[in-house]
Amino acid sequence: MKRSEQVISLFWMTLAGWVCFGAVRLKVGSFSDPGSGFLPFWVGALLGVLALAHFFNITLAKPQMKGYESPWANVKWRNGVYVIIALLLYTFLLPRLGYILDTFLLMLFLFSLLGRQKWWIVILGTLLIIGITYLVFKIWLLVQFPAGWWGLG
Amino acid sequence: MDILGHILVGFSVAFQPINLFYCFVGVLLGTLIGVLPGIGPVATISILLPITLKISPVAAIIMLAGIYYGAQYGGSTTSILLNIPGEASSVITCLDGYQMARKGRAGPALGISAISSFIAATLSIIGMTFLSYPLAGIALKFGPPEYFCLMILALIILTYLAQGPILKALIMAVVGLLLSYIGTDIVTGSMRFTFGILDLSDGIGLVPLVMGLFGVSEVLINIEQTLSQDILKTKITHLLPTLKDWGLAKWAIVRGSIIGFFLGILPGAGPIISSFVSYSVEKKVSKYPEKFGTGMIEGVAGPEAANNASAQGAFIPLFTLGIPPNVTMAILFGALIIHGLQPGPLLIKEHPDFFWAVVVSMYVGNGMLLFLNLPLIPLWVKVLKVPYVILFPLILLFCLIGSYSLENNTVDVYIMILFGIVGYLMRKFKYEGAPLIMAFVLGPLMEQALRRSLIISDGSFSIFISRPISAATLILAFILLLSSFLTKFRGKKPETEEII
Repeated sequence: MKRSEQVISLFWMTLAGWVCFGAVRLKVGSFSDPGSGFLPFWVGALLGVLALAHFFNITLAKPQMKGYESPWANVKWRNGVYVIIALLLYTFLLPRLGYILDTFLLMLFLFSLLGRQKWWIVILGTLLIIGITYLVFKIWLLVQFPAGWWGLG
Repeated sequence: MDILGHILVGFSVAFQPINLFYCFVGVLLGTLIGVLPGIGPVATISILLPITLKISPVAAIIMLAGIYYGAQYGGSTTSILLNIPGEASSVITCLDGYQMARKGRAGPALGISAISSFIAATLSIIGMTFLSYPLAGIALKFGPPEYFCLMILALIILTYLAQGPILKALIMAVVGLLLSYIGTDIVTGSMRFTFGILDLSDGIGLVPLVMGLFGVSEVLINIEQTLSQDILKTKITHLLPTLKDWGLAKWAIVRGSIIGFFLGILPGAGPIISSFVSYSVEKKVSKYPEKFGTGMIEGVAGPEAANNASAQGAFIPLFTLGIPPNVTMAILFGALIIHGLQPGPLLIKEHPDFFWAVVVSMYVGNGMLLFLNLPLIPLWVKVLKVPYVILFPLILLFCLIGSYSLENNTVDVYIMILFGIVGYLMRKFKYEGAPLIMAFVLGPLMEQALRRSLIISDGSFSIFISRPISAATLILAFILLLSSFLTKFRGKKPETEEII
């Protein structure tokens, strides 16, 4: 935990440095004439100071191994990775496949992810959800769903 | 027009069938998500925010507000029947509520929870009705320095009350401020941190940000665990408490209402802290403090009154000062802006029909909630049986549709997924999302107020200490910050278990 907290602090420090550098390029200005980079610069600098304080706080703290549990212990983290990949793929394919087909594929995958379900329940549930969301969002709330290559949207 | 006239106008707007319908939808959804562990009002409001763009502002805010205070009612059902809080503000209800259910008194526990919630919420709305006008009058005298200092104080209180280390909370607030700078600078018109992406010229949207941080990340956390829901097999009878129960609970309800109302107004405190404070007060004043945790009805009535009073009280600083006291209010603040309404003292002055319609809808909504929560308890128990396998794909789909429908482009969806991952990592490493969202919402206002103040004072920071209100708020913020660091060096902050 200590190591990962140190790495996170270093990440915040890098981010702070990058923000300050970007703010200087935007023009910081003066107190009487603040420029676009004025607040980003000072807030970025504050992030750097806080991250540094956190880094020293963690580094100087006594190790507390008693009761310590890694945030990754006893968890099925693969499920999260699959979901993220599925969401990214869904977003990428949305303008191409259209709302109906793309959502059908996503729902099939998500319903099957956390355990085996009866296939007809999965398909029926998926179709029902697509039908209801299409009616509510497309017909009632006039959301412009992408139609995709086959005009299914 | 006097206050009574405004209230009557509010009645005429709130009682329009369409507004009554959205009020009902809001409180129903609020109860539903309150009952369901794994999804809270923050995620729900952010998921539904894009949908509200298609309806009138008053109907939208009536519905979103209904979700927030409705969730406080629903959260206690799971605490009492499952020993799992539906909402964070119902954690404390588990202690005595579940014990009452185990002793075969689930009915009175659920009943007193709903009734005390109703009484406290109604008292709180009455307080809101009479306090909002004078508070807004005072707020009208505030200038940019006062507003800047008040927003600083709100952020400091929120970080001070954060559950984790204060340094982490402060880092989150600072990151929130930095995220708010992405986009076009409204003063100079130059692009800041947009990486040449045109879609970022308006900045990062509040909706994809909160949907990612609270909606997607919540799903990612839940699906990596094996969720089991063991509903206590008990017969729910006699929902109405007995006279003896009333005798024990009445003062707990009054105390809980007062505590909740005042803590609700304070930035950062909110329903969670209110319920904990109420529980510890009840334990202190009780003749039998040792029996708390074994099924004492005061241990249910007090905290449930407090969290509902607090949820209502939280609307006061949002509407009168334009400063959201907690993360849900920050999202509602964003919703008001999206609907073209500027929260703050001018809201009441310029849109009295809107303001009073929302206030009146709260009286109506709380009445609806009492009926939803007493006779329909068996229905909510059935809802508890909906497995997460079915729930999580729906949550994700609503997040996807919600973020896509904002601008009909996929950039917002990618942003939402990115913040879903960020939110997941934040939860893993115990970084709280609330200070980030608050700072993100307040960021542009703070920047504007600071720049104006510096222009007024010709670059001198003395403007913040030469004016009494801004000086007092800054001193208070400084004391809070200092005390939280001193607490750290003297000993750690009291944990939840210690309060209990």
